[in-house]
Amino acid sequence: MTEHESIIDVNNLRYSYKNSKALLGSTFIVRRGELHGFVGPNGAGKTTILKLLSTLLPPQIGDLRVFGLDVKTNAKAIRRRMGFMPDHFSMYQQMTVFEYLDFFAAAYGLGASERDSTIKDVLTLTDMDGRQNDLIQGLSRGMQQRVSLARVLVHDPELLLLDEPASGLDPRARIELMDILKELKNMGKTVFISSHILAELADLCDSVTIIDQGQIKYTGDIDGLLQTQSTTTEKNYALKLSEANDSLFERLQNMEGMLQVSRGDKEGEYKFTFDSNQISINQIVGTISQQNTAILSIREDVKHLNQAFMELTTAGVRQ
Amino acid sequence: MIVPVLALCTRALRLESRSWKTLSLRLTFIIFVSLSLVSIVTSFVFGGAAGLSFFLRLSYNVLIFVTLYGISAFSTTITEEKEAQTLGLLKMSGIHPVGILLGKSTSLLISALLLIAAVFPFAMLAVTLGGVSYRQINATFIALMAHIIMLSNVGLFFSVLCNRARSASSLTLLFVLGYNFVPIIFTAILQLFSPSSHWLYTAINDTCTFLTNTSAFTQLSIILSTGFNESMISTQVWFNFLIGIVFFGLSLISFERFTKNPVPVGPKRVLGNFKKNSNMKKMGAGRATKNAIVWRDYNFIFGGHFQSLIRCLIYLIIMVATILITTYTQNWKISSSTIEWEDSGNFLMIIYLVLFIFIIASRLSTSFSREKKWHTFSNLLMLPHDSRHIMVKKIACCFKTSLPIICFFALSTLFNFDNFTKALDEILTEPLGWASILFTLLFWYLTIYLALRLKFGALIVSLFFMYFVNFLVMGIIGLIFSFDSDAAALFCSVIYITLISLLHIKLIPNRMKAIALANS
Repeated sequence: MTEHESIIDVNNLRYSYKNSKALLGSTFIVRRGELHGFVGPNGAGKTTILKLLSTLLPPQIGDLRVFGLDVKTNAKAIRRRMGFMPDHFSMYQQMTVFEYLDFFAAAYGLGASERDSTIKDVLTLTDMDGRQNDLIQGLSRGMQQRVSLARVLVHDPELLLLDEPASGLDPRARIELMDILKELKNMGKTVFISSHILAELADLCDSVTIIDQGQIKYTGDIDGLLQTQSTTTEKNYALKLSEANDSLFERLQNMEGMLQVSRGDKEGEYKFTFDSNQISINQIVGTISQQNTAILSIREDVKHLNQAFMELTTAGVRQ
Repeated sequence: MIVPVLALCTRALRLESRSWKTLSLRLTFIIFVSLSLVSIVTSFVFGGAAGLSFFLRLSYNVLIFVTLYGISAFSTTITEEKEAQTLGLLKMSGIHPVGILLGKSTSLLISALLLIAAVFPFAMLAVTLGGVSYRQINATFIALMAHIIMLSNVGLFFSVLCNRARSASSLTLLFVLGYNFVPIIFTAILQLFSPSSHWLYTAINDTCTFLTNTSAFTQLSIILSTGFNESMISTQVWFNFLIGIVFFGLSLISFERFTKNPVPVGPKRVLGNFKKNSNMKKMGAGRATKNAIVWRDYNFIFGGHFQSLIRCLIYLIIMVATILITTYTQNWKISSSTIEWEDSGNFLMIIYLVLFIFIIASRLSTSFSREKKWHTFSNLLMLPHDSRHIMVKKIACCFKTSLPIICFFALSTLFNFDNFTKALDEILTEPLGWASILFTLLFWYLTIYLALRLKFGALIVSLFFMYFVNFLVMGIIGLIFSFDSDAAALFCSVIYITLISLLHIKLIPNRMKAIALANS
């Protein structure tokens, strides 16, 4: 098996529920060892894809392969090598953490001694050492999320499917969860993580797939996503000037190709939007210098990931 | 106050009327009545009081059905809101407890009364068929309504008292059994003694007679006896109505006290957490075994060894009590030195067998409905096993929990081993014996399926369906094969095997998958 081998291979996948079409021909791949973000607004089709990948839902039309195996015919073999964490907390609340993990490890066929070491390892990984005798129902949401993550790790799966793992967690728990996910990636696991917040995954993921209304809008790496969105000639800059007067302001506004000049939030800051085909930032800097005004700082406002997400997806509440 | 009551009641009625379950329940009920009519008309085609016979069967069936329905439905009146954590919101909206109690219980009461109303036109046919008067029909329906009103308020009270619908329905069931059958048993026991003028004897005897006479079961037999000419508003009607009012009052008094604290979310640990005491640790869950699903269900749903030990004690008490009663009733004296082992064995075999059938059904219902209720099917179905394998493991666990009763049954066979082998031989060599075994299996499978389908009352609805199958379908098949009971039993067996296979292979696994999908 090579590092670049695709672990998940989705090709023209379509899925319809009774009254609605959930997927309209989705195609993307996830490579071995990648941390892949799966992003889309509510009702975009993320959970349907996750259910299909986790073999809970049988595919209708299209090709869906996990570890190169067709999910239609190899569900059991795929489940052995995969761990799925749904977005709902469906835990056996009356068990202790150890009993819970012991049950799942035994259900995957691990022997008692093997289970001991595995449970110890996953508890350390999820920073749950010393909590093994706690009842699950007494744990906080963040702690339960960790136990849930520990549960999907007990059989040492190659692929982890995580459906909105950070939903409902406080900022600290979110950061800690992301650290655990990075650790898992370093351990060589392939992680497929769904979220409706792109920015949350930006620092974490190697690649990302954006889905909206059952259609894949983008699939590839994060840098590529920004470049894709930067094809327009419109540029945004923020300049901090030592002083500014009305005549400079007017002169800049009247430059050919200048689309907008406005005052920024900070003192002395000005924001410029211009067509780079008609003028360059050097021309703007030159114009300011001619007015004997010092430029204290200059910064390009790169299109934010959230903006890219907003542009790729459509507005409105989905069902 | 009337506005919130109406709002709650209207909302509940709207939900009820839109629910396919309510409609299918009424439809099943009407099919049941229609088949009952066909069966009776066919039986009495050559004469006889077909109307009375039809109405007698119909009214008792309706009474049993609404009682079973009431035990499960009325017990959820307030527990439903408690479990969904919405009772606090209702209380916060400023609705007076009377409003909540009336609003929640009235809709269910109307629903139950509508079930009876659906049968009323059929009952009128009984007059045409002959042997029953309008007065008897009206008196029957009034008695049934009073019974339902009583049941709804008893259920309401226990639903206020308990946190879980299961506990509330168990207490309601105990009340129904206690009210309708315990006085009869006590009266029978008192008859064993010579009549005495002692005040205690008289008090017990009079109370039991009064309670027996105010039971709807007794009242129906009085109404449907030949020459009934008493008032339609009988003592039973007044007394049942009075009990209803008393229990409503008790619900109101206890409402604030028992709904003050929110119900804890999630299942309760029924297993003892024996960490410090090393002797008791043996009673704990221990390590997961190779049959992990069986281990989990046994320890965390059914309470493990600790609960098994308690069950053993209960079965032992049943055994000792049966031996004592059998010996006592045989010899009329408690001091008799001869213990009636053979008769005790016969009784015990029947008691344990019936208990075994119902305990398994109850365990199956609990096992599958808990999984559904706590949204844990998605966890199980992600294991590298197919859904049928998981279902079989869960069933196996139910049998494991029934090991104590199996042991006690085996012990009771030793008291009268000859009779046991004779009975076993008859069951295994006669087609009817096999049909009965398959009938029991179908009952268990149907209970599982209904536990996955219904929010509550799976066992009771399953029981009703089996009653329906037994008395009507088998009755009709019996008529078709009127001269050959073996052929009828074989035909029934084929039907049962088909239904069991359908439930095992398709319906139950598919339902499990559907629930897992909905929860993930």
